[in-house]
Parts: sequence; structure tokens; C-alpha cells
Amino acid sequence: MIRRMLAAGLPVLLAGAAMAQTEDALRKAEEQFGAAVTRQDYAALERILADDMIYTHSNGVVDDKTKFIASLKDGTRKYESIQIREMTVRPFGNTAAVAAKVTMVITSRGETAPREMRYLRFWAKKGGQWQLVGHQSVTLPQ
Amino acid sequence: MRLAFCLFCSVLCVEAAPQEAQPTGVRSIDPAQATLHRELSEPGAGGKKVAAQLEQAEREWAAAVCRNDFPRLEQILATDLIYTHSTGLVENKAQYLEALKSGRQKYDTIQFEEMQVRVRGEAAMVAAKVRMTGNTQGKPFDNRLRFLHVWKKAKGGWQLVGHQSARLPN
Repeated sequence: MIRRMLAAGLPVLLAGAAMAQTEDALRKAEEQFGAAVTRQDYAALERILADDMIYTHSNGVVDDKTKFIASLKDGTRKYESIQIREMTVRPFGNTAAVAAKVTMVITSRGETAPREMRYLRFWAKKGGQWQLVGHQSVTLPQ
Repeated sequence: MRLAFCLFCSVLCVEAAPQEAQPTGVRSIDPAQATLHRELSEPGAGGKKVAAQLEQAEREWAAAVCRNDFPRLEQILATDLIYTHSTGLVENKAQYLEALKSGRQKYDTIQFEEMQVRVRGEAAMVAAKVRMTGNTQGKPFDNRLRFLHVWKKAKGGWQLVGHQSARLPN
């Protein structure tokens, strides 16, 4: 009887633990991405961004990995700070969806302004590294 | 290696008058207007096949939304759906369905102009450019948007887990 209960309960417990672990890993990945972007840490970005990433800004501009990094290097867009206000993680094994509400301070065309935004991201694990595969954000009304 | 190609795509759903039953929800195809770009991140026939499933899932979602096909939406939408509109409004599955049922939110057409699929095992994402028409609380809209959809594989097929859209300047 006990063995049967264990047999039924253990996988559920293990799955629950694995999901919690993935959630923590994603929170960390989100923070690392934010830090890499604000510090313009290109080595970290090379690791964090998937080669086939699609990054859609709130104004509809779509960047691939190369363009995204180039726009940071040439100063088209400078991320001063990113503060995560809310975050929901939906983990599915080696992939996850993250929906977040953030305050980003961005300098674009010489203007620095804080923006309240929401975004959805798609993350996938590759060789032990969580990588950003997709991003779509929207600017919230002031 | 990345496989990239174009294919013709259809106007996914054009709303019929409410009483007029349209079994497929697809009424017209305008290939001139609706070129669809697709890129596959996974090479080979397997990736191609899965990407085609995702495109099909997108079409079925769009058709179900425009037709208010609630039994189909129940299947397509994951129970833990996070649906963030371009206004910033966040809805769960129940709230999203309620807005459609009450008529607060009505979609007449959802037309895909671009679609890019990225598959990672049992999950996938679609980045799309669309034109949506309909009305919100009786106020008509005709919006061009980009959105990101996250899908997960379930027993009955692919389920929508996340949506985030942003309006494009008109």
C-alpha cells in the first residue's frame, strides 16, 4: 500500500520539484539577460541569445541576434536599467514561456525615458545554457 | 542550416454574418496580399513537418476566434494561458473566453502576413505579423500587429500557452 502510494506520489513530487527548479533557473536567466544588456556584455549575450532568436521590440522592429547586438554596439538603443516588476514562468522541460511586467529605462535617439512594458519570452535550454529564442514586448499606456 | 522559404497563405478567416454557417470559416484567399514567410530553425523533414503543424494551429486558432467556436477554443487554449493584448491587458483563459462570449471583444478577420516558427521539442513559438479587424466594446478596430505565440504539445495537439502583441504604426 505504502509502496503504491509512493509509486504514485513520487513522480508527481519530482515533477513539481523539477518545475520549481526550472522556474528559478528562468528567473536567473532573465536577470542575467538584463545585466548583459545594460552592461553591454557581448560575451554573455553571445551565450544567452539563441542563434535563431527573433526579438520584436514594442515599436514592431524585428531584430535577429546579429542585429540586436549591433544595435547595442552602435548605440541605436541603450538599456540604462531594467527592473522586473512581475514575472510568470510556464516551464515545459527544456523550454519555458516567461511573461513579465518591467520598467525599462532606454536611451534611443538621444532621449532617455522610462517605459513600463510587458513582454512574452520563449526560452530553450541548449547544452546546459538557457537561451532566449523569442521576445515580444508592448509599451503600456502612461 | 536554416531553411527559409515563402509560401502563399490565405486570409484565415473572414467573418460571415452570425447566422450564416460557414463550415470552414475560410471564405476567400488573396495570394497577392498574403505572402507568408516561414523560417525553420530545425533542418530536415521532421522540423518542416512540425513547423507546418504550428502554422496549422495558428490558422485554427484564428478561425476559431473569428467564428466564436468555443468548443474548439477550449481545446486550443491551454488552461494556464497568459494572453496579453496590445493594450497591455492580461487575460487568463476564462477571461479571454468570457470577453468573446459576452461580445465585448469580437474579431472579424485575422489575416497573417508573415509567420516564423521556432520549434524546440515539445514546445514552439510563432512570431507573426497580422492584420486584425473587429470591435472592442462596439468600437471597430483595424489593427496591424506583431505577436509572439508560445505553444506546447498536448495530447490533442498543440495548445496556445502565451500571446503578446504590439500594434504597428498604421
